[in-house]
Amino acid sequence: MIYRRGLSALLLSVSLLSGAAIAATQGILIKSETVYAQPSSSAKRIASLSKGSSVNVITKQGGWLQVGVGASKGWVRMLSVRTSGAVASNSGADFAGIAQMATGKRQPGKIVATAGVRGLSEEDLKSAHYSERGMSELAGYKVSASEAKNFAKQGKLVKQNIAYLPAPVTNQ
Amino acid sequence: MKKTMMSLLLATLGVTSAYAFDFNDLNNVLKQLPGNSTNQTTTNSDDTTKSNKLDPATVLLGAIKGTSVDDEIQIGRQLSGNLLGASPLVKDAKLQNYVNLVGRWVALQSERSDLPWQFGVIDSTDINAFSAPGGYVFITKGLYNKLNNESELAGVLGHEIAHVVRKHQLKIIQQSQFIGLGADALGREAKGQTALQNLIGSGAEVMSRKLDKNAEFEADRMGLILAARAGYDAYGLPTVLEEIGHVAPGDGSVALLFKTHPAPDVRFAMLSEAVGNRLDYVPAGKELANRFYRLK
Repeated sequence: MIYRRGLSALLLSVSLLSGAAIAATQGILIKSETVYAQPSSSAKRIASLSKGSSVNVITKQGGWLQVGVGASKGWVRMLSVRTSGAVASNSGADFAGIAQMATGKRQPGKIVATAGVRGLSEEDLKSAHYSERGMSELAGYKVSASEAKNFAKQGKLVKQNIAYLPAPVTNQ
Repeated sequence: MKKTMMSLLLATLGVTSAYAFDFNDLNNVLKQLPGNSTNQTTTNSDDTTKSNKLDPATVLLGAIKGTSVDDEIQIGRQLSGNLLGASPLVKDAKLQNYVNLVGRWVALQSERSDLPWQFGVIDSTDINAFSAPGGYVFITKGLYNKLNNESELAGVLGHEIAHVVRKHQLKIIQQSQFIGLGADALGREAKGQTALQNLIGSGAEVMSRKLDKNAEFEADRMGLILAARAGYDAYGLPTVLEEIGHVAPGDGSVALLFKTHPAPDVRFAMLSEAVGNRLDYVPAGKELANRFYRLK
């Protein structure tokens, strides 16, 4: 019981923390980048950052992240900034650890809540047997191309004509 | 000819007429048998009666090598049924319908838009997604719960759609080692199971088989573009990769994903290299966070 009370206190502190964390996620540049005044490569260039630089991620807009470096702000390509595993400060590390406890499997309260639901291991897949019922359920949810087009229209999704990306030339 | 071929094959495999109801599946596989296709060889058609043509492994390898779309769907159906045997669909019709609408719309942007695409959310806390030949795509509830908007879902489904479009799994199934296993099973006993089950095996492990890492990078590049073609924010998939990268590598929920895929930060970096400034002038797509169906 004492343990549980401790856990809910911990969860409360996590929820308080997460509000702050959204405001400033740590990021690390995975390549040298130009910082622009607006989220566009045709905007004014205001600075450049070298690979490995730490930034505070303020917000995301399409392929761009607004970042803060010290007192200044600007936009860099989203794909040039890694936020996972980019923990620069100790407080950040603490937060990441706590957040994982709150969302991960190791949290005792969570296991109770998700009893009956399980993971999917290689062994599960190896020993799996065909489910006719599952396949008829699946077929029941199938939608037609015209239903999908209608759905896209409702979401105001506009088709774009974009070629597939060639494989990058790397030394990997 | 087909019937002769089939009865010879069945006789060789020791299958009795008691399992005649299973032969529809086998019939599909047999469509591609060397002896059944036209102008396959210059040899006399009587050659098909020679016993060396009926070695199960050889026959099945031949059957799979030139897989038609129907056969591809049949194989995918078997694998998907096996997967659902391990992990059933989430009992939420609205969720399943929503995922099918998004998935079908993204698949319509591919060069195989006419496949009978079917999508499902499976009831597993694991963080993963699967696809099978012929247009079957699955995402676990664990991964779905990590998503924040429709563009992220589109990116994840786009990655799986790309595997199907490029036939990445089918190529694995076509590898002789795998066929060898199926052929052994078929030769050993074909009791009360469908011929295809014997061929594929009863498991769905091939769906979690590690693909070549270049196949994964290709699926990432294609998935990103398919989502963008569908009008979504192109950056949904890399955002999900970042999200997955936040899960501790030791967490059991990502064990299978991390075993079978390059690390998320490597995939992210490869996308970064591939995209560069190529999408700078593509109109901004939509994230559709409001419409995103959230699980209770």
